[in-house]
Parts: sequence; structure tokens; C-alpha cells
Amino acid sequence: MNEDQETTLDTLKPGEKASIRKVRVKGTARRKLMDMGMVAGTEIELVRNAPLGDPMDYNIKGYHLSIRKEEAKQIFITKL
Amino acid sequence: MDISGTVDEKPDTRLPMIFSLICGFLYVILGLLQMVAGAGRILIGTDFVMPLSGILFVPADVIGSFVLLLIGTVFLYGVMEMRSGTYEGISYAYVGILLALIFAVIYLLVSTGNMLEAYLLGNEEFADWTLLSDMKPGIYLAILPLFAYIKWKDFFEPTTEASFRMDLK
Amino acid sequence: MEAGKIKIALTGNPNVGKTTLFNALTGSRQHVGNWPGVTVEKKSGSVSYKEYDIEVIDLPGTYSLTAYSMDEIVARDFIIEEKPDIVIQVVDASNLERNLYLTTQLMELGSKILIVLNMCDIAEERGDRIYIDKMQELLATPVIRTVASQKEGICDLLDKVIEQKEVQQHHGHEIGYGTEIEDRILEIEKVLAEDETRDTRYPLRWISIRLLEGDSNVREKISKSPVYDRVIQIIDSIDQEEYEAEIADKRYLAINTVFPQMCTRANGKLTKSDMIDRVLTNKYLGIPIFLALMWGAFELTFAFATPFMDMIDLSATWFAEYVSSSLQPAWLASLVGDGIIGGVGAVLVFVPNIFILFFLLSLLEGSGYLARAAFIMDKLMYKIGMHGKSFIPMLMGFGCNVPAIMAARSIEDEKDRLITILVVPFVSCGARLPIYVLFAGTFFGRQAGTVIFGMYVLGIIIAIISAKLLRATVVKGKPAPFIMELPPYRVPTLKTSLIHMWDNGFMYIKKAGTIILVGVVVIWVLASFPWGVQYGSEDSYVGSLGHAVAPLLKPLGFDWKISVALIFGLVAKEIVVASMGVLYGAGESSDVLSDRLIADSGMTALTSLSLMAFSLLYMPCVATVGVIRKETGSWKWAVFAIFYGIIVAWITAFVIYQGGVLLGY
Repeated sequence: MNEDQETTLDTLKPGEKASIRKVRVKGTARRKLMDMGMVAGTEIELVRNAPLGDPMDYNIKGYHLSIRKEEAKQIFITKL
Repeated sequence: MDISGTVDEKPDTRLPMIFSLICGFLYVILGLLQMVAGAGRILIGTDFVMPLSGILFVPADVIGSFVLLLIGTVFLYGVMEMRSGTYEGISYAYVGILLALIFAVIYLLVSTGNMLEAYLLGNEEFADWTLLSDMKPGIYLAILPLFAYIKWKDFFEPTTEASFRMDLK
Repeated sequence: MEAGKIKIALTGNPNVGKTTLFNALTGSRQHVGNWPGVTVEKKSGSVSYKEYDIEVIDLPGTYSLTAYSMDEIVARDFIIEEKPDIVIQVVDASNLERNLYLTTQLMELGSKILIVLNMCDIAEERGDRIYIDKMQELLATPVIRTVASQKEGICDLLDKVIEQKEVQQHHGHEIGYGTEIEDRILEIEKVLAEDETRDTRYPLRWISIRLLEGDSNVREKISKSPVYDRVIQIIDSIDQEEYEAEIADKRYLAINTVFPQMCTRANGKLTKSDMIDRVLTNKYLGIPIFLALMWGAFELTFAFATPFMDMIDLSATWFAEYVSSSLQPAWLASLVGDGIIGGVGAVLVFVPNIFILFFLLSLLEGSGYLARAAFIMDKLMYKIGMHGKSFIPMLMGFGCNVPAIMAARSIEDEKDRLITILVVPFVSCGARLPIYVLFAGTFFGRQAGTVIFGMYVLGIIIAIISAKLLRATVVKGKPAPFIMELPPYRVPTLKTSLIHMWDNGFMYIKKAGTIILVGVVVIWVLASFPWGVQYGSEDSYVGSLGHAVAPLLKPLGFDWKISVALIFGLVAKEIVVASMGVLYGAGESSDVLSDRLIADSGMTALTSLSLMAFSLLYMPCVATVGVIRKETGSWKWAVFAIFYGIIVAWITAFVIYQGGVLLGY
């Protein structure tokens, strides 16, 4: 496994874009994330962190989706 | 996107910057005055009188001073961003205007309530109440933002975008 | 054919304007907000248009038709089982891609679909372009453009509905999921088809896909089928997670192939909504602005309401006096005057607060700021074992616990919701304020403000501790993941806010007219009988009751009078003050009451502190208990809330009083 394989969504900095590779979240959250557009190949951009650092505000498919770092850590990406 | 030339060209932010600078300073200065007036009332007692507070209608109100300082800071924060070349800094001018207006409306409504107490109900606590009793910086300072809000499109919005928008209709 | 009835269902993602469209169609007043998940149950209304009676059903908003929440099951069961003539999917034009995901699923259900493209104004402001003709062609579905908030395009929509009703078109569009999955789908379809008794309303392909996605609700639906075991065998042989992802992928892939042809999205244009977000969720400014706005909201709720409260107070007092002096016999005058008008009046005084509070909340909700409040506060809430979405109900609790508990409906996770409901009663509502004002004002003089503020803080601390405690014991587990859409900011419509204010405010008035009315009559009876005793005196029933309870409350420093007042306060906490007035024979005047309280050697500053804390925490008022029962669906939690509250209150007051005595106060 090279370094790139290990990159997760929470490492993104505001303004950076990435492409989603795999959603490893478990349970109902997984389903929900996919329904909200978190599928492989989708472009995602971190807009900003909440004032207290967590959760994060992402731009995906043209809308704002907010999730916590905890879930973002289980979403694997390729930085663009 | 076949409309070339509009994407990279950063619009001019001089006007919103000057506007934000003026508003920011006015709100911060009056906020500080109000805070001193409020703190003095608490620390020294009711006979503490702020110089200038009469003419500028500065009440002794610490919480209110935070609101003024906050609005001022929002404007100045925008000036800082715009100066460093970030066009998005104009957002702070816009939100500063909105906040200034929202709080002015809140103060005016509270004042309307007091007016009802004084004139309609004849409440003794409001016996000396006049229209000027509730005048405060939070209200009169908002005139400038109000003007800017009405004229926002003419002054702050880059013209290239306006023409782009036309052909949608 | 008889020109008659058409049944249409409105569906779509949360927050796309379904309810606004519903209101525009039927003229009904349903609550609309800019907060994902406002419509919890389905609502129906009707409209007559050209010779047709059109029944409109507003379904809860869903992102998809899987089964992870009640809302989604309600929506899809309705579409499948009730077979509406036309399913109208309301689509947010500014968010087309994700909205079309639901469209792909609706198509699998095999119903007649009509797409309503709503909120085109927002998309256009951003510079998006949508080619409606192309969209109709690609989706093979009629598309109507509306701006529901301006009632634009409503007639077009109704015309189209009638036209579509006559067309015998059936949807041919299906998404291919790739050879491997398609083979599995076929396999399951074949097995399912062998069951002669199956419910034919459900398309076989749809069931098969659902099963492959691991839909537990569908699995349950076929669990009685004789072929169930064989179906499960097939499903167990696959890697479900892999399939789940693959199916979602394929759906979005299908969208992506058609999407660029029907819409061009403007890149990077700074919208007003982006501008506002940039500041309101700014790292340094976000929280101060949030606090300032909340302060502004409370300033309005209390300061602006005062003259209206005074008006109600004056009229109630006048009315009570008028009735007392003109009614015969004396007991009836006393019942109506002292009991009913006095008691209900004391509660109605808060109506202006409640109305303003709801109006402001509706503005915050409609503008989209409430979603940001949850976003800003989530980290803090998470730390105490709650969810960002719990913050708003907690905040509303400062106004009145009843609507606050109802607001918890927007929290999807059952556990998160339960904790919120159980913790809200510790948030000091407006009704408790008169108690603090009386006692802090009487015993703490210039420090009264600080003491009152301290009571609010105490409530919050107890709420936090309780949340942690509940998480560790009864409601184990971590808060649900925070997955929330931050909708674009919008200018809230005045009409919507007024409707919201009226509906919720009226509920409070109804409460005053029912529960509290009964409560005050009971109190009056207890205080007046046995007939002939002085109203509320030691010899009355209520006096005996107070004496019976007093020993339990003695360690907290309370005598029988306070015990009586506290018992009355169970009905509504504002009654504590009113009954102290009666018990001390002070009538309506609070100055007289203050003097008498000071004169009473049993009352000290310490007792009053203990009393304030106890009133804050002990069992929620009757209306709150009622709403806890209703919202949790069982008496279990309502009873739990009562006992938990009493225990917490007793311990806290004990610590305050005995601690104070030890320290020599």
C-alpha cells in the first residue's frame, strides 16, 4: 500500500479538492452517505471546518454536505 | 462555459473596502464608547457620566456594546481580506450590512414596545419616556448600511456578472 | 370516463419546497421550514381544477427510498400500496444531480412520474442553466418549472397532471447495474415469481434490487413467502456491502451520463448564500455572531413582548374582579374569579412571548440559519453525548419546554432524540422566571440578576450531567453520525412565519384552555374545601396535603406552605408564585407578598435559593409530561421524567440547603 491509498477525507484542507475512492463507513451512515452522493469517482471539496474545528462543510455535487471528522476518516480519497 | 474573460478577472473591491472601513471604524468607536459607559456605570456607580454620551446617545449598556463591536469587527475583517486581494472578502461587507440592519430592527421593535408602555398603557416606569430615550448608536449607525443595502447592486456587484445574468431571462 | 378524481403524491428530497408547493396547490397551511425534515407525517389536501377533484398528499422528504428512517418507509409504502395516479417529484433546480438520484429509484417503482423543477430562481442566481426540453427527453418524463413560493407555474402543473392522467404511458427507463448484479436480480426475480401468493403491487425487480442492497424492511415484507429461504440463500452468498456501493455507483453513473446534457453548472460564482456562510461560519466570528443573534432573539422575545403581556394581565385582572363582584352565589364567584380567570390568566400572560419566540424561530428556520446553528454547535453537543441537531430544541426550551420537545422530531436517530426529550425539561423555561423574579428580588436585592442567571446556568449544568448520565446508563451508545445538508440561505417568507407562529402559539392557548383549566379548578376545589374554611388555609384539603408532604421536604428547608405551592406548580410552574400569593394572603400584589415573605421567619435567603433550584428541576409541568408521553410514544419515559426530575431536584436542593446551613448561613 502506498501513501496515496491511505489518504482519507479528513486530511483535506479548505479549498482542496479530491475524488472519492471508497466509503468504509459502517452501518446506516454508509447508506446515507452514498445516497447523498458519496460514491466512487465523485469530486468533493472541503469548503471549511466549523468554528470549533468539527464537523466539516464539504461541497459535493453542487451542494453543501456536513459530516464529522470521525466519518471523514473512513472515506478514502485521491487528492486532485 | 463559453463566456470567456469573466472567470479570472477579479472584480474591483475598492468601493466596498472604503465603505467597510468607514462602517467598521464607526461601529468599533461607538462600541468602545458604549462599553466604557456601561463599565463605568457598573464600577463607579450611577453618577458616572461619559463625556460625549449625551450627544451621541450612547447608553450604558455592556451587552449592546458587544453587538456594536462585533458588527464593526465583521466590517474590518472584510477590509483585511479584501486588502490582501481576496475578492470573497466582500462577503463581510454584505453580512456586516445585514447584521447592522437586523440589530437596528431589533432595537426599533423594542423601542416600539416601550412606546406602547408609555403612551398606551401609561406605565409609571415609563413616565419620562420620549422618542429619544431609546435612540442609540445601534439604530442611527444603521443608516449607512441601509443605504448600502438598497444600492448594493449598483455599487458592489461587478458589472460583468450583471450582463451575464441578463441573458438568462 | 367520468371526469373525476385524481390522486397525486408529492415527494422529493428534504427541503426542496414540497410543502410550499403543497400549500400553493391546496391553499392549506402546513408548516414550512428551511430545515431538512420538517414534514414528519404525510399530509393531505385537495384542490378542484377544471372538472377534476385532485387529492394531494404531501409525503415526508427523503434522499432515497431505502429504509433507514421512518420517513422513507412512509413515503415508499404510500407510493407502492396506495398507488397514487401520479407521483410528483419536486426537484431542487439548484441541486439537480443529487435530486435525480431519488428519481432513479422512483422509476424503479414503476409509477407515473412528473417532475417539478422548483427553486429555479436560486439556480439562476448562481448562473446555472437547465434545459428543460432536453431534460424531458432524456428522462422521458414531463418536467414543469415552478417557483412555488411565488405561486408561479401552479396552473401549468395542474394542466399537466390532468393531461398525464389520460396518457397510458408506462415508464420504460431502467438502470442497468452491470452483468453480475443483473444476473443476481434475475435469479431472485425468478424465485420470487414462483410464489403465487405474493403481493403483486410490488414490482419484482424493485424487490430484488432492494434485497441485494440489504433492505431490512423489504426482507421483512417477504418473510412469510414460501420461497423466502431460497431468496435469503442467494442474498447471503454475495458481499452485500460491495453490492450496495455498486448499486449506488451505477445510479449516479446513470445520472452523470445524462446530466451534462440537461444542465450546465456555473463554476465558482460567489452567491449571496456563499457570502453569508463565509462570515456566519467563520472560525473566529461564527460563534460571536451566533451568540449575538440569540441574544437579539431573546431581547425581542422578552422586551418587545412586555407591553402585550401587561395588556393581557390588566384585562385578566379587570375581568376577574368584574366577575367576582357580579356573580352569585359566592362560591361560584370565587371559582370563576379566583380559580379559573386568575389561574388561566396567569398562563395566558405568556402568550406574547410564545408567539414572538415561534415567529423568530420560524425566521431562523426559514432562512437556513438553524442548520448552521447545528453545524456550529455540533462539536460541543457531541462532547456531552448529544447531537448538533439537539441544540435547537434545547434553545427553544428557554421559551417553553413543550414546543422544544416537539422540535426534537427533526432528530432522526431514536436515541439522540430520546435523550434530547428527557433533558429539555431541565432547561429553564419562561414559566419558571416569575418564581426567580419573586424570590431573588425579595431576598437578594441587588444581586438578584446574578442569582437568576445562576439558576439558568444550573439548569444547563444539570441538563449536561443528565445527558452524560443517560448515555452511560439507559440510552447507551454514541450519538449518531452528523450527516446534514446545509441548505442555501433564503429570505424567509412572512406568511410562512406567521402561519408557524399562529399554529404553535395557538397550541399553547389550547393548553391553557384545557390542561391548565382543569388544574386550576382542582386547585380551587382543594383550597376551598371542606366548605367554609379560609381559601388555601391550613384547614383546607390542600393544607392537609401540604402537611403530609412537608416532612419529605423538610431537609430542603421547606414548610407546608411551600410544599403546597410546589404541588400546585406541578400543573404549570408559573402557578407556584400565584399560590404563594394566595397562601400568604397577599392577593395580586407582589410587593405585599415580598414584605410578608421577609416577615416570615421560616423563609430565609437560603430557603429561597433552595426553593428556586427545586422549582427549576422538579418534575416537568403537566403539559410537558403530556408531550413527552406523546413524542416518545409510551408512558414509560414520561413517568421516568417525573421521577428522575424529582430525585435530581431533591438532591440539588438538599445540597444547597444543608450545605448552606453547614457554612453557617
